[in-house]
Amino acid sequence: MEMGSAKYLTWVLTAGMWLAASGTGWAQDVVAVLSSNLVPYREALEGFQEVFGESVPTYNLSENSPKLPPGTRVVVSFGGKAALFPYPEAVTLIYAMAPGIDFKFAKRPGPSVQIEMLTDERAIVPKLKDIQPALKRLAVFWVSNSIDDNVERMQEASAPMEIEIVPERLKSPDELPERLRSIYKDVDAIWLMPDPFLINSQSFAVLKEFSWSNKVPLYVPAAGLVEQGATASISASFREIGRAAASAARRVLAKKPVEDPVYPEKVETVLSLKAATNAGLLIPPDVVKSLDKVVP
Amino acid sequence: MFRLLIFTCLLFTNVFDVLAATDETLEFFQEEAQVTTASRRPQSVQEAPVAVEVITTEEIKASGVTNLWDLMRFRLGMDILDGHQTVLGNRAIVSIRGFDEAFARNILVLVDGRSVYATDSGGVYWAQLPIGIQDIDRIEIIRGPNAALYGTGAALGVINIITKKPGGATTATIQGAGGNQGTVMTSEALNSSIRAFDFRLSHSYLEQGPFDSATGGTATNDFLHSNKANMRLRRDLTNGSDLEFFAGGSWNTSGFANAQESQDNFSQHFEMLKFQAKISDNSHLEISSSHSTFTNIIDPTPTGDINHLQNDRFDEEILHRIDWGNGRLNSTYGLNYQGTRVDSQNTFVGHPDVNDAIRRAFFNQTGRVTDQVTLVGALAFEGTRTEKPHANYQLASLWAPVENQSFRATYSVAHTVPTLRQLFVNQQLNDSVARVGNPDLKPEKLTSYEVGYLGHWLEHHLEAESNLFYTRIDGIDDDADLGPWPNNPSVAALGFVNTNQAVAKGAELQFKYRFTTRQSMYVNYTYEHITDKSGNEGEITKNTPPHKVNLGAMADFGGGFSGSFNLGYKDSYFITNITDSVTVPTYWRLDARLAYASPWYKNAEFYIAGQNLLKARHVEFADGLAVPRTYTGGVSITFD
Repeated sequence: MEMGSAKYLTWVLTAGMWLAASGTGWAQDVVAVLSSNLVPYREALEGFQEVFGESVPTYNLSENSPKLPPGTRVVVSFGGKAALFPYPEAVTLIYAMAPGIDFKFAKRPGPSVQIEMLTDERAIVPKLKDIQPALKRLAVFWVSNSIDDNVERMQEASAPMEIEIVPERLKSPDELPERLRSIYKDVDAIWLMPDPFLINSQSFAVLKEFSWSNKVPLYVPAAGLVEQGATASISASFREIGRAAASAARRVLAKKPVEDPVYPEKVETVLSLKAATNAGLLIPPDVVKSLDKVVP
Repeated sequence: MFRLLIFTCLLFTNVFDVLAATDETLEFFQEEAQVTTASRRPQSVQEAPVAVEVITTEEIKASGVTNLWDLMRFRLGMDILDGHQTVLGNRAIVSIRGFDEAFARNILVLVDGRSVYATDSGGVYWAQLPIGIQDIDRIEIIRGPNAALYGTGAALGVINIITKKPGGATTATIQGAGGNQGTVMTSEALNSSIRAFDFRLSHSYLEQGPFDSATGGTATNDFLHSNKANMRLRRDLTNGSDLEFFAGGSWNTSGFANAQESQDNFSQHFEMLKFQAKISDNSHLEISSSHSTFTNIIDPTPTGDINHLQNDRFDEEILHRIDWGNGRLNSTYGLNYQGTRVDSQNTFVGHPDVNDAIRRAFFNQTGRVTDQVTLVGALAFEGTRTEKPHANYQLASLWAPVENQSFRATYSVAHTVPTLRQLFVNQQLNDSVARVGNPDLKPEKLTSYEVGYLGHWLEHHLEAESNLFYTRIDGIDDDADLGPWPNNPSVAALGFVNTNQAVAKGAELQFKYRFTTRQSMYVNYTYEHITDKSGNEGEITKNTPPHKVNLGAMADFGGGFSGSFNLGYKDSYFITNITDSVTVPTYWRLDARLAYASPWYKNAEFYIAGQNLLKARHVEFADGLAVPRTYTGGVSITFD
């Protein structure tokens, strides 16, 4: 072997070993924790692994408590229970799929980064306008304090589109029927915030029934709810939320600045033709074609 | 009757549509809710340590009632008796879990958190309360002792009337109605904002003719004319805090049932300042201060003189709520002061101005031990000028083995302090008897054991509730023979002494079914049996109907039509008021309302409503008055 080739090979092997070693090091630096074995958490984890590219130790709180390997620098949690687990202070927590948790209010000792469930409000409003061009007054329902900022951003994003946000903050989901009855002649559509304190099978049944019987479109923050009768969803998929968490984890490990909160990049619009018809919407074919998914 | 029920049930079951909306996405949100629910202070009914029922705005509107107390008539565990003489200021008797009496001292009635009992008698003058039905947002009824949180008077339950919060778009509502029995009703309300202030102003007027005599069916002189006005002013401060000012009054004139020349003028007014501050997301502070005055002038009394009585009360409270331990632990604690005063030359002969002060410190702790088990403990110390501090306490455990199903066990000890009348009265009641107070009278002590179940089924369309309770009251006052009355030795003096003891056992069962947001129905059953040591029939025992059944529904029929009905059955009971008594036979009562929303103006609604539709009249109380069948029809228009 010539001296030049050996030197070249040495450099390549050294670089390869360094990259491999550093890659392995990142994988050992990161731990993923799931609140439970529910499909949405698992989908988000899959999205995380796709982008992160390496397998990381994963714990499921419904099965066991996480035992962080020495040197763990980042915990990526999926779900509220996983976010609230008492991790060491030195660990950076990247928490996703926890719409009721905001560490700006409940202080966590140590750095944290929130992956928003809701996509950027500036991306949501134009899509609502595409689906429902006559939209003028949009009622926004939520309960939790942690959602307040989202509503304000929604108002800011709606003003240029000449959509008036009618904020409907409830003390509890029990108030929902009364509020719906009081507003139903005054709003063109309803937007449901990703608020776990509001969204349950009962409140969703009430909202769906209201939407269908009064021809008021119901827009939701998760595609799965469209399958159940909501008019449309404008949201990031759970997988996309996982991807955003992976990107944030890589930036933390690389000691690059990370915005907080992080918004998932890709927004999906899913529409139910049956629900849209029941809500009194006639969707033009070109709009239907532009959607990411259409449920018959 | 049976056909009517079948028809109604079929009507409502036609719109039956169970929505099964459960998938992984909903499961995800519900799992997340388990994390956040624990950090919120306003409890859902499912989490409450006592039995709670809420009368919603929709139900209030659908009821079509003229009088406030009829909103609670068909509710689980409640007993409403109409036909008390209006002149006594308390035309209705409202009881929770029995012990029906003219001035029920063991239930606490709050309006926006302000207690509204009369300081002399401890009872609530329902007809004179300065609140219009159009102002009520909801009514929360807590059945069972809650004195550890609310203090004296809350031994059998709490009724919390919550008025509509000002804010949002400017709206004005006017209503007008009329009906038989000389009924005229008008009301006006304005909700708006000026700069940073939200406000609501309202006024209502009610005119009702006299009830018929229970024996002859002829009209008595028991009329009622009432004006009520209210104001609620609110300003949002920074970061979730706000400051509110409440004020209102009522001005009423009523006639004596059997004395054409006599009439009674009642007036009340109140002022309250309430400050709520969100210290952090998990910490909340409330400070409130209120003053209430109640004046009653009978001119002339049936014996020719003038009777003047004035109640004053000052309420001050500071309360702090905090959630900690990742939301698993919730603490509420605070201090309360009530200054009470009564001035009446007729009631307190020789020393007309009497007063007392009630001081209370309270602490309530909720701890979620596991995801399925929550423990609640509450302790309060309460004392008066005449009585050393006593402890009210409550222990409860809630077990929710699966979602939407919860079981509850509660043990409570509550005290009700004697009223100023019981302590200091000195009054000739009639030609032969006078009442004399006992400054050494002790508080009644109420010990209660209760188990309950609350479950939601069929995707929350069906709610089932059941409770069993055992309550013992020690230190109930009996009459004591004090010999000749010092002010007039020819009259016998009767005093008060803590010698009686009563035991109440009962069961409650209720099913509510919500077909859609606009169609729902309910059925409930209450059983109660009361015994006592002194054999005080009509005042302690036999005055609570053993069996009560209620059935009702409300529905939107489409085409602008909506309707509701409530049907109640009540067992026979025997009740006494001072010297009169009556055995009330078993009766059914039907109330109904039909409304039509105007097609040309969406916020205009026409309605007809009727109460006591099954009989021309029936007796409910021992004052010789019969509750008549009434019809009203009216219109309500909202401008926005």
